[in-house]
Amino acid sequence: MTTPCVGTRRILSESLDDVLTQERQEAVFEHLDQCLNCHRAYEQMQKIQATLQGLPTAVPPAEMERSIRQLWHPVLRVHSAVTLYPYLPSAAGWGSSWRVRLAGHLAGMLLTAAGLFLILGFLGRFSLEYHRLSKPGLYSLMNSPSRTQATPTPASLLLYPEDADTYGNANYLAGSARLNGYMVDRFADNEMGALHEDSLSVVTQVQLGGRGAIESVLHTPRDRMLFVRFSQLLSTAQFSLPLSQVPSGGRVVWSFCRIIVIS
Amino acid sequence: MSQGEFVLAGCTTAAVDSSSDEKLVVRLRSGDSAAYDQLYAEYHRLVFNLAYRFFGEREEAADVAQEVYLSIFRHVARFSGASTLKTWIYRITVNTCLNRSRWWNRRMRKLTVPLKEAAGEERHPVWELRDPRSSPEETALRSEISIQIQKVLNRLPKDQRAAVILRDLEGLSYDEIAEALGVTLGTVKSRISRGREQMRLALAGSI
Repeated sequence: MTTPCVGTRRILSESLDDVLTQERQEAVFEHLDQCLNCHRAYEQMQKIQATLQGLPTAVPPAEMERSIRQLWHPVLRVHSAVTLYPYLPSAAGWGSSWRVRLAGHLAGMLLTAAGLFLILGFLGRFSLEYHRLSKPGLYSLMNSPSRTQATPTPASLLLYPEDADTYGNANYLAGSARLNGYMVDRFADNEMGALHEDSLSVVTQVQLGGRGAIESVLHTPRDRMLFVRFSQLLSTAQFSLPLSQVPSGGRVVWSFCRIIVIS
Repeated sequence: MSQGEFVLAGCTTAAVDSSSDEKLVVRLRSGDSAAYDQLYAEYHRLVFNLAYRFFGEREEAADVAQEVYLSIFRHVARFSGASTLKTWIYRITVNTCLNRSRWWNRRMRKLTVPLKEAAGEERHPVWELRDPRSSPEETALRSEISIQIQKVLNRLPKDQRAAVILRDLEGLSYDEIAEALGVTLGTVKSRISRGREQMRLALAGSI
């Protein structure tokens, strides 16, 4: 019995990958021998597959490696400190008593906290902070640079604020931050869930507040980006972005986002 | 070689892969910078190429690669070893591509132009040809077909596109794709089948 066209077409792709049972594969081939249309379809699929398999490999741009390595250093520093303590009790051979182990872990945590404090406070080349949308329609960012930084370092922070609207059933707010051209973080948060009735769409202007050392602000409406240049990172900088031109149907989400600032 | 030997050989290779993955992950967790170098050296092309084929844009693919590595750094402690490191990285890359695609679509990405392109630079990607001995005609023809295929690929629904890329460009098995996409085997088969059929219909006149 030959396989009808509909049935054959349904498993043609699997036949191409040779993942059918021998019996079904033979039935497909038997049908292909008798049906010109299905045979042609099979050959076309074969050609497309061969072309896809022969597509050249795209070579990453040279700057990609640099920008990815740029991300490693803060990650490695934090990571080293955090992963240090679990090894301390066992490495010291402090025995198996739970009191001893607990003491070891507490000591380890203290050491880790001290290490992080040292890194962030004295040797820190970055700060890691959590921020929150303080009011509906306002996005605030705080920047706490290293205290030991001797000279002000120019830095550019490029934010991609995202429309907050509904995607499927999820309320969604997302964006990414770049510092000196490198993406330092990307935030996508739809977990906090406390919603407001307002919406946001295009960021149309920037108002500076606090003691921010912001040198210039460039708004590119076409790409809906804000380019904020910091002349220095010595003091706490704050700015807020009023969000207007609100379309109907969208919502503002209370959101945490994390920004890693590398000075 | 008998079938049994073949299976055994496969198991040994898988065991070696799993063991070397494990070692690399332990080193990554301990913050060994050489391990990060190794991770970059071994997987950056895979990540970039997959993202490039998904979006058809180098700038986008480079951004995805950054996100993927950032995600790996943050979550390497959670890697359980249930799959290979490679499959795990595929999964992160595909998820990043899907999220980013959704994100961009909502920002009406089609209305924006990459800065480099706007400045008239690098309109076409740099490709590493697999056969450097090809004649210029062959190269041009291949390039033409590649561009056409890439366009059709980019028009596929995202889920189908990811499945077709993993199968036909990355050469993953159906099981590996199911693992990388986090879906069932049946869903993988159906996505690949529908994706290929759509590509066939779109390209029927030119092949």
